[in-house]
Amino acid sequence: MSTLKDHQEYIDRFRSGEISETDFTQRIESNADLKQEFERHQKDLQVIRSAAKEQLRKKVLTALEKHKKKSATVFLLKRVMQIAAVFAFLAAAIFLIQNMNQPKSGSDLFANHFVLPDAAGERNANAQSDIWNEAMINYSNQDFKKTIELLSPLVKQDGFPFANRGNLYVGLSQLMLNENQKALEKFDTIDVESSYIQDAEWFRALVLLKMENIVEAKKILQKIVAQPRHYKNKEAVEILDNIQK
Amino acid sequence: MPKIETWSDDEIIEAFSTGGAIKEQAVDHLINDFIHYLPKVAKKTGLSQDEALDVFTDAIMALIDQTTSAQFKGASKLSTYFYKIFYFKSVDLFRKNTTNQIDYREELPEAIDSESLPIKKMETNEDINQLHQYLDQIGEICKQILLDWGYWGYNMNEIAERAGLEGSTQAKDRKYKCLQKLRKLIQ
Repeated sequence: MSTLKDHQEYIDRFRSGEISETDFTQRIESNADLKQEFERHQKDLQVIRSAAKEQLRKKVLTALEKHKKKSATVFLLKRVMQIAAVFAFLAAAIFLIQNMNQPKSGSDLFANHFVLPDAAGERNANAQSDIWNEAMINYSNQDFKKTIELLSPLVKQDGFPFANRGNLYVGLSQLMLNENQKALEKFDTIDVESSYIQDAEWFRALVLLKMENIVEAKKILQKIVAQPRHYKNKEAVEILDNIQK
Repeated sequence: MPKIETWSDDEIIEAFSTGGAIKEQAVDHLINDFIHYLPKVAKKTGLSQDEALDVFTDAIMALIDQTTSAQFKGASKLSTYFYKIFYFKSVDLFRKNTTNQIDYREELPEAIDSESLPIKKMETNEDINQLHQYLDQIGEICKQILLDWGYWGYNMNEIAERAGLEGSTQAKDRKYKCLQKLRKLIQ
């Protein structure tokens, strides 16, 4: 005769899959004690299931608390990043505004506005013209030292028709060789009646800017601004705007 | 076996069927993986955290039952299937809480398609409290043995090891005695 323990073992074997459902059903139908034990077993499992739910609920609560902490950290991190982004944006904006409003240095203005004029050729067939043309070739080739060597004696010759233009090119060459003071003096020698006086004024202003002599540069630029027909009138206004910021 | 984080849905379902430590691992993994649904669904359905915790736990148990009893056909991802169970159970409870009250929550479905998604009726909190209290009265070791055997599906050798018993025979005897204790309390 089977004991209660035997019935339980038989039910366990069925639950683990050792005994087929057909065999189990047949056996249960023919054994009232086993059937009763199986019904009890079902009730036992219900109680155990409720305890398992309690156990699981604790696991879920732990997971939820962990999740909340993690979410709070992520939220905080996002906030910090957002604030950092706002600060970075503000810093960039302030930097830009400051730079926009900050007066540019003289050398920056010089670099922005200085354009080396092209060489000018001469077509007369005489010795002076030959030297002039050679000087211009050297000027075009950016051999400014040679240009000065050729032009300096030429512009001093009595009756040389392009003395003012020559002095302009000597001054420009000196400027390119960074002989700023010499260039300034050279531009000063250009006759006020000459058609190169506007160039002379413009380049004098630029040399002074390059030398960071803003006060003197301003005076010349204001003089240019006062001449509505001066070919550098607009640029002079622009530079003055930058200086005055 | 690869890391649990990389398990496929099939591997998780297989772990449920195998039972024992691997089932526990799979359940822990799913809880951690799906926990982010809890605050979202609670907010959406207006349940309290306590209520949502109950429903979430119940949904995990339902998922285990349905996947091991082949009710889950694998037509959707396990996470999607779980979300449906959890959401509908939450709606059920919400409706139960608000019976005879006017409800303006438009996003809640008008009817729950319980035919297409077999969901066991959730046990009420009162039932659960009464039932698991019996297990609390039979001692911690007995409670663990019965849980390991009756819910987690550990085999007798594993139960013996976990309970510090000498072998499967001793584990079987202990389980028998524990069951007898429990039955006396229930009667």
